[in-house]
Amino acid sequence: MTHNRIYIIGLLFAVLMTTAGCRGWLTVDSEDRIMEEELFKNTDGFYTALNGIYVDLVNENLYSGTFGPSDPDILAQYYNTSADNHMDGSLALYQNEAKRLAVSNAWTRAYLMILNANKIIEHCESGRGSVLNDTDYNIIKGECLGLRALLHFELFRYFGPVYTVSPGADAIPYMDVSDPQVKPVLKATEAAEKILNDLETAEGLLAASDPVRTLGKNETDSGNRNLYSYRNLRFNYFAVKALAARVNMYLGYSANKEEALRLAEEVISEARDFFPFSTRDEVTGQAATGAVVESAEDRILSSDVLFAVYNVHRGEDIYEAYFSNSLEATNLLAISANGYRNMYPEESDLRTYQWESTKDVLGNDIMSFIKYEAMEVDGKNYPYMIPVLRMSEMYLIAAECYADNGNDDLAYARLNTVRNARQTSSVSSNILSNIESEYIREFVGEGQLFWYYKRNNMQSIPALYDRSRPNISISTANYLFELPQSEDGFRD
Amino acid sequence: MTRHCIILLLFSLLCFNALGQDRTSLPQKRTLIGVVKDEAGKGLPGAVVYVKDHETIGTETDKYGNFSLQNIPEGNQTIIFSMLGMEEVQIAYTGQESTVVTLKEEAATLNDVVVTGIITRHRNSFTGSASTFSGQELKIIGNSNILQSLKTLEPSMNIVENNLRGADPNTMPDLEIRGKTSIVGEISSDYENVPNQPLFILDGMEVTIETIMNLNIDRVKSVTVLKDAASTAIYGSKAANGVIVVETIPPEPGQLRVSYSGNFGVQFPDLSDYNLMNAEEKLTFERLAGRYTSDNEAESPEQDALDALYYSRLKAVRQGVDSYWLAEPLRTVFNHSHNLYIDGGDQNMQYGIGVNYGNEKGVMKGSDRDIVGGNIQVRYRKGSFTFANNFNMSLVNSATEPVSFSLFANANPYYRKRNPDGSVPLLLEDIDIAGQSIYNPLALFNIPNTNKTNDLTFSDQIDLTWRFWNAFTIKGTFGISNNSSETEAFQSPDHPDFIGSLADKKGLYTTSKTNNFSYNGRIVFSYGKLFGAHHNFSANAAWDFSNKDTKRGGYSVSGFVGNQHQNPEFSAGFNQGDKPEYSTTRARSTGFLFSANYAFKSRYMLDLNYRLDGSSVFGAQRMFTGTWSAGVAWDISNEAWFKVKWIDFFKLRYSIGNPGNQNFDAYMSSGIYEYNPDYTNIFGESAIIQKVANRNLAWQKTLDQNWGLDFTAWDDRIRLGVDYYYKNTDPLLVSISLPPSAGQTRIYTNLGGQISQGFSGTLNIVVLRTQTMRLGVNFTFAQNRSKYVNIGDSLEFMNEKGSASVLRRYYDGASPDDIWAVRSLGIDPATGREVFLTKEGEYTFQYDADDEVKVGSTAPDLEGIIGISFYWGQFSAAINCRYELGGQIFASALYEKVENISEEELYYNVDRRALYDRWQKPGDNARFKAIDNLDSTPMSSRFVLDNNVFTLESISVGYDTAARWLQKIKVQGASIRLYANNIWRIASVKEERGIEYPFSNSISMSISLRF
Repeated sequence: MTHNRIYIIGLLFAVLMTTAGCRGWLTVDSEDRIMEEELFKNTDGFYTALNGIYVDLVNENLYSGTFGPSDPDILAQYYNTSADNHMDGSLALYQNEAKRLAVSNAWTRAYLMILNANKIIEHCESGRGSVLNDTDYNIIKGECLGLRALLHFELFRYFGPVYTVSPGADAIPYMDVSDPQVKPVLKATEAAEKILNDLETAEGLLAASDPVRTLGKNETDSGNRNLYSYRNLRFNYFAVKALAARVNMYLGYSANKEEALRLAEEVISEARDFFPFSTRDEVTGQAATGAVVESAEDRILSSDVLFAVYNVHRGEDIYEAYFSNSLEATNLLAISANGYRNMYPEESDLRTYQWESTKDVLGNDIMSFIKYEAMEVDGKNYPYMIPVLRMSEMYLIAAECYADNGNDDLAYARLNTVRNARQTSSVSSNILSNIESEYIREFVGEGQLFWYYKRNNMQSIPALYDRSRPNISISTANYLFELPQSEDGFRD
Repeated sequence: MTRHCIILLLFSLLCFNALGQDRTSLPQKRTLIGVVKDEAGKGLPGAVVYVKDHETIGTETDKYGNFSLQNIPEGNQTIIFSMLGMEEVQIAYTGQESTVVTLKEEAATLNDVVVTGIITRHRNSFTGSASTFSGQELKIIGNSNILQSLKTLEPSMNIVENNLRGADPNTMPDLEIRGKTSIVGEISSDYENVPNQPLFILDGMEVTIETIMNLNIDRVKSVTVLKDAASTAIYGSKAANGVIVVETIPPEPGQLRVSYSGNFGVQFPDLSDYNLMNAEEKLTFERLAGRYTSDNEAESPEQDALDALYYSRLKAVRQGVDSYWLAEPLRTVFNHSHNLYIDGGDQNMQYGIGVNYGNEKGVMKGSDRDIVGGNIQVRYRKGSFTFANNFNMSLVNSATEPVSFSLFANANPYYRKRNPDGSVPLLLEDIDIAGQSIYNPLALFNIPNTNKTNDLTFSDQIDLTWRFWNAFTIKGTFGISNNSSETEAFQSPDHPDFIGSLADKKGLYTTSKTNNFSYNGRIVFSYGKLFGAHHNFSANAAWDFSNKDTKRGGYSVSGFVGNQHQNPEFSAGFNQGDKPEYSTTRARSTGFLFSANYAFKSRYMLDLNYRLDGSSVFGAQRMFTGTWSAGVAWDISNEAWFKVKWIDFFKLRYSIGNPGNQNFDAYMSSGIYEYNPDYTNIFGESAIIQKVANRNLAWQKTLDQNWGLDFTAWDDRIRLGVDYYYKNTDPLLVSISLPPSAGQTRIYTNLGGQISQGFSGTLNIVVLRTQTMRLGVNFTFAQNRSKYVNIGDSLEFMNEKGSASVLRRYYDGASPDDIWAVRSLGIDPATGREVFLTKEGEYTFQYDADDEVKVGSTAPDLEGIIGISFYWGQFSAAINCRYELGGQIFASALYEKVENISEEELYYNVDRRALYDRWQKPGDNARFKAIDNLDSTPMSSRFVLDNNVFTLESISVGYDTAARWLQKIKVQGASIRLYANNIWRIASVKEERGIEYPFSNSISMSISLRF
């Protein structure tokens, strides 16, 4: 009798414990986080992780700043930072500490994104077949490899040597593993090889499956997360090849230039129709709205952009941060009317839409850089785009390579294609200096000019913001960056 | 999980079964029959009846309380009636045939029980390490809050001195029980738990430290500190840092009683540790340090300007300018709190209603804390059924000071506080130091910069107890609580932070609102029975669950035109790109507990505990963790052979267990991705890595062993309790920094182990005891030591990275408390440079991190309390002093404010010793480097000093009375007590304490009246 009662109680307790269904009750959803295993359970999760990288590329330390509109263009002497206490003054003077500080956060952020890419690549292998079909495998892995090469190359340009001067010097560690670990700093030759290897693999994967080869940008909102459309906002097949051309051009030896020429010509012939140059109507906003509307101007000349990052806060992150004329004079990046006139001798130049004559807070006349001003145009992405790679660069690379091997006719043809597309007249002399001038005009806010100077080891560069000033002399050492303090502390 | 449940169930059934065996009876001889009843006259089943000194002759009452005791030996015998939870009764047997015995419920006094929050245990049969203090004991020490008093009473508990926030009433203390839990390297911010904080239990339910701090001390019945694995195991993985269990005073039956207690105190700032220069000294120091010497040649315009500045200041100083800034933001405050409690009722129903109010102003102007609370308690008892409901509410309003105290400590004494016309200038010196001008802290103090929080909590708890079968009890506890906290901060547009901002960015209003809603419950099945005369068995099985939903929201707006309208309606709006913050989280946990206790003849005790803890995770790995503990104890004084008359009680205890660790969360080894809510694109959701998976990471496991001794002698004149613990943590969880190129700057890994050991004890001696007088001394002591093992040289890179700037090193045998630095021989009188000692013992000027050795340890050799207590009739008095001996400290005030004064720091006031103790000219025998040397000095043994501290923590004098004249005004009894807390401190190191907020001393009084 007594025992029975005890048993009953014991059973009751057991029932209570098991029926509590603790496991289900303890499973709680999180709004802002997801476990890695959970995320990579389906294709959708892979695209979520991949999109994580694209979204983060607009970080102020990456393409909204250090890799794009701010630091490289300051270093290239586009802007007037000569005022007392200008926050970028010491950077423009190539002071080591300022250079180190400027790139420190980009280093950290870029390697975090590289880790993200490596994680996705790791899961691509384990999920191939079971989770990912061949197309998704090729696209996701191809884009990740391309992005990994792109970010390493951005760091390589900062921290590596002037390649034609000392290719054996230390550059950067190349991270191709998905576990956080310390990897050695590679020599520039080794790092460059790894970058090109990744691009080659990426090209192979994307060649098979990237719809950009048949459909081009495909700027149609297809719902379903636009997985295979808007390819110009993804690191697509052409972007991979264009980057390979850029890398080879940067390395600068004749074998590299040969390769660069081949790649540039291939991109030109394959992608020309998909990525045509912008027309005047497109730039003025006429094409988008049916009228010339200032707030609908396509100031980034988006049509020939092979790859751009997409920043919904572009206006605040870039324009308001560096270029708005309401900024304190010591924080503002702007040029003088003299600099502007010398940069764009032809008024018809479409790129003049990127500038506006105005006054700064102290009442001085300035030319303000309005390429990245916030704007809104229905159905268009160009108000949010920050170009990373564009067709015009392929033409300029080809022109430079032809000029280099004495094929002047082709060189002028390629250069004049760009000049004419931008509504400026053809040239027929001084090929190299005209290519340089084209770099100056074409890539303001896109951070390419300084690397043009670095790969050519230029020792004297113009003060673009005011051509009445003498040229600025720049030594090879000025092109070199020390590893960030946070990284260097771990290395002997 | 299910498997665990079944094992538990089987185990419990086995136990019940094994102990439920019938005992064989002997042939009949002499027989006594009778009935055992409770106080209500109901038969008591299961009571044990046996013959004294013939313990095999015994029986048990049946379900009506009847018994028949047979074979009673010849002669006069003593028959013992005993039952768990009842007071034992002995009767003389002289051959009578029947008897009726009434057993009274045991009125356990506080000293006899251990309140664990889930189960109340007899102290004598408890094998764990726990100490219990009554509300009165706490109040003899102090009247401000429980934790402050507990610190003085319990040697193993330590409140870490908050050098930054001093005596800020709105900063919660940082508590440790038995030293620090181990983690190597820094804990990253995703582990937001305060690393060493114990678990707080109030009336059986887990609460926050704020709730404990807000609890009026007059409502406290008892506080129990659970220290070792055996006593904390019932709380499982949350209890690794110990548990503090607080019980409030329940309503008592009887006529309606009204009691009032009030606490009144004066608190004043303690600036005795500040040693700042006066105007003349500062100016001299600046001159010697070269502030008025231009880098250019002597005959330059800069030098002329500097000379002019120096002489104008000198003139002002000679005219008597010597501003004492420190006193400006401070005040002496009068604090008071009141508690009114009404209770009463009969045997079946009791009720209590209380209200309390407390006002605690901080010694810095503008800081304030107000607490209003109320509680209603109802208890109802019918037969074997008890119902209790406890309702509480509290409202806390707090405000913080507008300016950090450090700004006042930094201001140079040669600046004038006010202009000749009495106005307060905003700028003290128009100079740009790292982008900041030197502002007048007094002017800043008057610019609105407020931060106010109000926090409203309602909670209700229901307890149901049902003793449904004699040895069985079911107790259910269900609680619900809602807390909403709203913070509003306003920074005036006039604040210098906004100089240069556009009009729509000037001024800032920030608000945030947090709502916590939680419910929890627990069901405890208890079984306790005395089998035969000597087998005392009890078992408890419990299931508990809790759920907490947190909702947070907030936003900031800026663009204010003035201070008139501080409400967001008058702002210009959000800053561009800003958006409101919003987050919700849900945390759930559940646990199963099984605990069994067996005692034989009250001599040998065994405790076994097992607990399975589950907590919510959003991926379904590692939901449950188990903790276990076992304990044994031997009460030597109950042994038949133990004949030492003067020893009242002598018990030895041992326990072992594996406490979990709440600081290391369940996601530690998993990879986590974080969604990006700020940036969107046309490709849908996006997520990036927040934390990389580390699948090989093992749980940090600690084996905690405790040896204890409890001893009383000479009729309670001597009382000694000592505990020794030995904790072995293996493997250790190590947080390692990585270079950013790895993609993560911090990862966790397993390496080596850590051994911590220490002892603590309390000794009370009654020196003098008469009818009306008692004089006692009390002495507590504690020591904690830990060291790393099996680390090898795997952390060598961290040692290298930290050299010269961090003091902790990781070697086998090294302790986390050790201080590592290069040995210094002081300053060379000839050159003013520091002379170091290499590892080989040679003299050198060259600092080399390789020469560093262990130069001290921050862990004191011994710390504790020495106190005297005295009662004489209705008077009582107590003095308690804290001592801390044999430790070392890195004197950061010497390092930062005397030695390493950089060029920028020259513009701020510094320690007086920077002028007097620094080398000036060849031949000076100085402790610190040359006065004009503005370079940074590496850390060396020169700044490691012996740290011996003696603090007068509490003095109190009290008087209790029930005098006639009081009764005339309807007061049954009254007590009054005066306190002085922390009024005197002597330390071998003069360190600046209270950097952002100063420390304070207090003198206070409490009055209690019973109507």
